[in-house]
Amino acid sequence: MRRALRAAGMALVIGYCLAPFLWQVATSLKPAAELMSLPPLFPTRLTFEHYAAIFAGHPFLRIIANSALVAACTTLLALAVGAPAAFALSMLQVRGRVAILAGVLAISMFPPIATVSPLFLALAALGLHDTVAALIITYTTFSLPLAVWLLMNFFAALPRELYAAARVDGCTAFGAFTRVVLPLAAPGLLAAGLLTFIFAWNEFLFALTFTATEAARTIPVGIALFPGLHEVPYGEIAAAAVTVTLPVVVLALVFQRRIVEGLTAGAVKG
Amino acid sequence: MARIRFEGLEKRYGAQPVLAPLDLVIEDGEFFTFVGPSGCGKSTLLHLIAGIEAPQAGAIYFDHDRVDQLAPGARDVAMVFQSYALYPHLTVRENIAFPLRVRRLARAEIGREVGRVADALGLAALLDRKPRELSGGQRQRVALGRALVRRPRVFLMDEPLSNLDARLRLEMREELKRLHEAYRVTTIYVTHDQEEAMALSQRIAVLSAGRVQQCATPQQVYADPANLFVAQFVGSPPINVIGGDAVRDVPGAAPLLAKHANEPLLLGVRPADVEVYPAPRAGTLAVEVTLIEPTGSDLWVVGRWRGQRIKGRAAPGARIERGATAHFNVPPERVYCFAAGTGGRVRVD
Amino acid sequence: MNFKRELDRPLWYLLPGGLLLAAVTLFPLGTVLWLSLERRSLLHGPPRFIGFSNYLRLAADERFWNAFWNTVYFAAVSVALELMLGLAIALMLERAWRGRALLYGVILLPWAVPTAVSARMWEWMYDAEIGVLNYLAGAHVNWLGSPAWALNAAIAMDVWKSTPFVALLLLAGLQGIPRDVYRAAAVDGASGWAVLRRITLPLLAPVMLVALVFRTIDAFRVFDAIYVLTGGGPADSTETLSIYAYKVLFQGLEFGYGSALAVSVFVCVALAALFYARLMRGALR
Repeated sequence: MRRALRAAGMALVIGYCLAPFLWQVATSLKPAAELMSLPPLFPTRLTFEHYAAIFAGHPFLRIIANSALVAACTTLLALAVGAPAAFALSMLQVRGRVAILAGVLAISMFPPIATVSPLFLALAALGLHDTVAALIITYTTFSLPLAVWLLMNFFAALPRELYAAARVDGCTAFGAFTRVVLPLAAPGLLAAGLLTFIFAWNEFLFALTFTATEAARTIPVGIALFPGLHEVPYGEIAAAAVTVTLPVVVLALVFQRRIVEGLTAGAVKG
Repeated sequence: MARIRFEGLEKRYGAQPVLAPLDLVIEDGEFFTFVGPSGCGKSTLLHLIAGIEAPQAGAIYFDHDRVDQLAPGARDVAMVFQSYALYPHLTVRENIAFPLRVRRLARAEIGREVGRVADALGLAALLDRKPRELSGGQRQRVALGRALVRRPRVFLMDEPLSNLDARLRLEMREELKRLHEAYRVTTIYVTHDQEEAMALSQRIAVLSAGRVQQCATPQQVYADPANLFVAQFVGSPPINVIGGDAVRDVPGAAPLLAKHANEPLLLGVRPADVEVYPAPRAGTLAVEVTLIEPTGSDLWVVGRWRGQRIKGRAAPGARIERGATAHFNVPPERVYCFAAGTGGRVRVD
Repeated sequence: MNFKRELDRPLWYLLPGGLLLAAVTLFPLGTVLWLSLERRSLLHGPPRFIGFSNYLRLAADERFWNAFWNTVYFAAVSVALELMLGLAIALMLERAWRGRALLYGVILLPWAVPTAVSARMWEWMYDAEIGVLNYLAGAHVNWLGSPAWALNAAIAMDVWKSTPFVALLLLAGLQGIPRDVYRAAAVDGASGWAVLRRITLPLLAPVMLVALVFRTIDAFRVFDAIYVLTGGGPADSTETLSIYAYKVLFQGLEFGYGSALAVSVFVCVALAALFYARLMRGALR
């Protein structure tokens, strides 16, 4: 009896999570005529006209490319800057370590709205308005606290003596970092990279403020501002939503274990 | 090869002193052991020599070179850690080759050296395995190999045998001794096992709470302990200690007591020197037996005499039972004398 | 032979990150504090220092208080719902052994998809005429168009999006509780409900607190969901602090007053964080 209840509950949870997506898929495949009324719930015939429309009429491909570029660059930079910092904080003697960590944690709690106006003015002054670079710089910075926090947890889990052994064997601190610590912390790098990528892919406020045209516009803004003449083109929006959700679905399914690892790291041990 | 000299070496963690100022010389090619209970500072000392930690004061010299401010990699020391610290992501071959690769030796030369060490330690068949596929003893030998391959000036070993089971530990002990005789590298060994220290070393230093209690050959430390701590730490079974009024009745104690009438004294005698007989004999103490420990080669007898615990050795097979009275012979010339307050050794002139 | 003293130089490892953080987060924060003391509008004249006038205006601003209470309501209700739902889901998932990978993947989806995309999905579902929710419920509620419902609709969407994160966090916490505790309880004859109340929840409390902190701070900062879903309307009934600040800044182009509003969001978040920090320190004792 308990089993059946639990299975039902599980089905409910899965349904709860998937239902809106499934509805979007259904919507995206509905012919325009059937969109504007309910019933029918499901399309009587499938059509790909909306998918064609989003790439034909709008610079949607460009928007996807922007998001991919920004997210990839942000991830690489955040790891390149964050890993050495996490290494120093967890394995080298750093004075004021606790204060630095507290400060980094505090920064991660900043509301984006608090810094968006000065950043807007500064980026405009630097001529970086409506550029991909503006997003990469700001995203890298704001994902640093999380990346550093995550990587620190992974570094701290490595046996202390491995670093000492590498030093005694003749490595400089940096040598020990690259030859011994980094290879062993690969799962942590992956988790940090995934979370950073997802953060950069999903960010909205900065993208809204710092971009003006599809030169640098990313997916969240592109979908939010999806143009429509008279009425909202729900069919095309649905097609766009499904298109951009697919890579995320793949990421989430393939890397779910790493993502969960990253999300819960440190939180459980406190 | 290096002759190691410590000059006023001190270590503190915050305000807590870990190592009192140390002045000591270790000769070139010597097998020297720091031995003491957990927390006595011996591992810290090893870390200072290796360069993993920095001292608060003092200096360390290898021959005429001052090394205490140098990075570990610049000191030319090799270390075997208690947990072996093998690189899990590298094979045995790569682990052993690691120090040579870091120093950018030629490929061919690295291959040669690794082969030489692998043969010497019997690791040739395991070269392509990863550490997690090896047994404890095999990992230990890989750790040794990684240290040996560099031909360092100084060997450091931090309780390398403590994670092995008893039989393997004895085997590896012999192996270490053989290696030292073959390579003759100055070796500093750290352990809490006094028997191991005695068996392996040419000289040992007994440490307690960061201070050297005695530094001498194993034989000297055993037969001529500098204080009560050393006497109790070295030797198995541990030395019998008799104090209070019972001291007066220990055979041969009278002249000592006469000399030091004002100070309370403690007398010590090793169980191995105390012979136990079932029947009374002249000059023996009558002791009520509380426990017997037959070990095959010996029969240890523990008893109560004048309210104090005393242990002695009987001939294996002697008819001695719990609750009965046995007779302990304490030879006066084997009795050590210590000041009760400081534990310092009071010597008979 | 001459050996070189080789330093570990931790500073070099921290410098790039430190510089980035200082330039892109700390410096702007300082600037926004300064801006909030100015009258700086991109439409009228040059900037002028006016001290705390902006904050006085803020205190008297009805629209500010409306936004403030909207934000508080949003945070309180969404976090409470997320915690309860998340706990229920975590308890259910705890015993699940089959298809775990797939399950986790599915649960992650609402969290992993951009909020803006989710908002448009829900906007479509919420549509008064042709939205599927009204259709399935047989109702005709103007979810996003009536001041009474809009904020709650936004909360529902946020709950849908964020519950997975809370559930996963709590699940990790549950998995950290040693099995023996439950076995002892079974031997003592404790019922399921009692076990939950007296064993599971107290042991889970630290993790729940962490989830609470993260979610409260995120809820106070909310922007994406509301901007895309309702834009702050109807009649400012869903306007939160961040939305109001954004409008003043980038639609009204008043950088002085807008900065003061932004600072107010920062202060709210900081107070919430401090409150929880104190709670956690007390809980640790």
